[in-house]
Amino acid sequence: MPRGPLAGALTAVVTGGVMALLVTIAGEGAASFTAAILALTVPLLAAGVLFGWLTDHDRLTFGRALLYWAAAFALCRLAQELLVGDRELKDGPIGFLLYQGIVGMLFGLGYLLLYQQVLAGLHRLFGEPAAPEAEGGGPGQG
Amino acid sequence: MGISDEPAVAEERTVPMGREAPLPIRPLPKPFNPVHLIGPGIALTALGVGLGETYQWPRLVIVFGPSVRWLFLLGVTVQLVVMIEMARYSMATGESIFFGAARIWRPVMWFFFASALFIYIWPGHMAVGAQSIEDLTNGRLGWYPVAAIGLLVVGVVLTIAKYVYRVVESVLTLFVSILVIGSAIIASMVGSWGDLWDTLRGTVALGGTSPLPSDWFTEAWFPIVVGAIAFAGPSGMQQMWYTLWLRDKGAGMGSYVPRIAGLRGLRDVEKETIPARGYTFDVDDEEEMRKWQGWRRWNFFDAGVLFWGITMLTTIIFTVMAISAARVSPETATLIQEGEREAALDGMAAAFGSVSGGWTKTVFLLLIGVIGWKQSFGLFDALSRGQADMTYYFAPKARRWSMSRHYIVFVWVIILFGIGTLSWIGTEDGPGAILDILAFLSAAVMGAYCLLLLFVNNRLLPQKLRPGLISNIALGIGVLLYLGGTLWSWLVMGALP
Repeated sequence: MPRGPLAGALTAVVTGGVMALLVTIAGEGAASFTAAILALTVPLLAAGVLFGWLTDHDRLTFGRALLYWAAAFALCRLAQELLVGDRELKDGPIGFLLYQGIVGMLFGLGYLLLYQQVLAGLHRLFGEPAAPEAEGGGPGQG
Repeated sequence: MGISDEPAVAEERTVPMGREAPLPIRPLPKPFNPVHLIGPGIALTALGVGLGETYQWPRLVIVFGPSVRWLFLLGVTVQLVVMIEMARYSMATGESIFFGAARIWRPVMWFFFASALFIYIWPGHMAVGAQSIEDLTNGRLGWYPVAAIGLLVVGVVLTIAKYVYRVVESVLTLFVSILVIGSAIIASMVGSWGDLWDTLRGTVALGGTSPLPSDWFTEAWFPIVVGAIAFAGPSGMQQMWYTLWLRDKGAGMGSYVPRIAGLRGLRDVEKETIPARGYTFDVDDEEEMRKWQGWRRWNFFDAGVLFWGITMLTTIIFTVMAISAARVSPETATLIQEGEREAALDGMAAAFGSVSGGWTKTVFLLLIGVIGWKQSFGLFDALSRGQADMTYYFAPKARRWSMSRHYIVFVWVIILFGIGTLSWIGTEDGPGAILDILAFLSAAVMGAYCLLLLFVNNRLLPQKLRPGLISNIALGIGVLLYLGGTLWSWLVMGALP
């Protein structure tokens, strides 16, 4: 698997894993939240792989990457709500998507930062030299 | 290790600058790609997006409503200009802003040396973060041992690094990405478009509540408000330390100065010669000025997108969470108004827990704990870096040691002193009190560095590199907000936190 999609997938898995860990630490019983976590992690995984592929093919600038995550995160949350939520979207479908899209931009910034770290880790692991300034790749590479 | 104290050779061109040695002219390196993610800006953002954004401002919003957020926007925007102006001096000379202060008059630099120690004696961030861990574990892990161990871990990581800046950049980037992703996930679960809309309107001073509540001008709240303005973005001396990170990153003329190393890199770095002052470039050469514009673009992205963008987005999201908390748990606002400072964390955490089955409460408390640790990590690196810089260049006989050795000694002195400070004040008044003191003192020194920047960049730098009118006005507003606010609070109102 090319590095970009792999890094994208790993970053999404880390995000889902952190959520699962937190639920467990909270003593809520991971089982009762497994469906909710999976319902968010699986769409994020798909979005992460696509993100990595687009990055590998130089299709995403920094700005486009943020817009990508605004849309992808909103759709992932929508999928989660429809699959395992109570299906009553706060503020209606448009208000819900608008809000999740703005939050998704913030999520996208965090994802980009983590993605670069994961990609740099893959480079170190597999011996490929990192980019000189950002030690990673993708949108925002310095 | 050596240091080049030799006078400039006859044919070498130099640029006189203030009271210290003139700067020799060297070629300006080629600028980095302006669009970047990992750099000094993200390190500063990791410090800037801290307890001010996630704790102090949400606390004000819970008590006074979202309309007070316009002051946050003003504070962060002034900080943006400060950051750009700090970088202007550092990239043009390869020197820290402390060296710039010495070029005006060495006692000015020693004032900042003393201020840094005095302000950052208080490990307020670690204390509040550790309290959050105590809350998370229902008191099983006391905040004091957690904070003390956290401080020791900071010391070990900074000491064993090979090149310290690289480790600091990686750790802070990792932590800020966790913070940003975690807060986005919580906000996506608990917030709503309505809360976001209220926050955005409040950010531009439009909303149902008063943008200037009368309670702010009371002895109880005025010092806290001044401190909160200072904590909007990088507080205290973080902006001054940004110039040191820029230098270690090799930005502009900083590429001519060797990096700070930990124990593993000490031998390598001590073989390099540290110049006795910075370098500058030929401003009459068009090609050099073209490269300078490239460095400015890189810095605008660093400051404007990474710092300003992430800070604004994160704080908007945390404010949305605070509004949601106040809606779910109105008693939280009442408790804080009555002086129960720590109720802010408890109330917000409880409110989040009630929305989504408890696990968002855990995430929130962990985030506050993470923020406390990573801020102390970044602050103690930067504080030690700044003190080592000033000691090395300006203390008598200090050059018998390398700058890296001074750095390591400062790291441990500060950490051990910090542990002692925790036991002295923290157990009496609680961690929140330390944070309020830190914020209030930060505001005073921020006013002072705005004055310093106005002088250094307008009087010392070559004409072609000086700031424009808008930047100077923004720095003037900074002087009024920070220094004016502190003096008014202290001398006119007689109010201290």
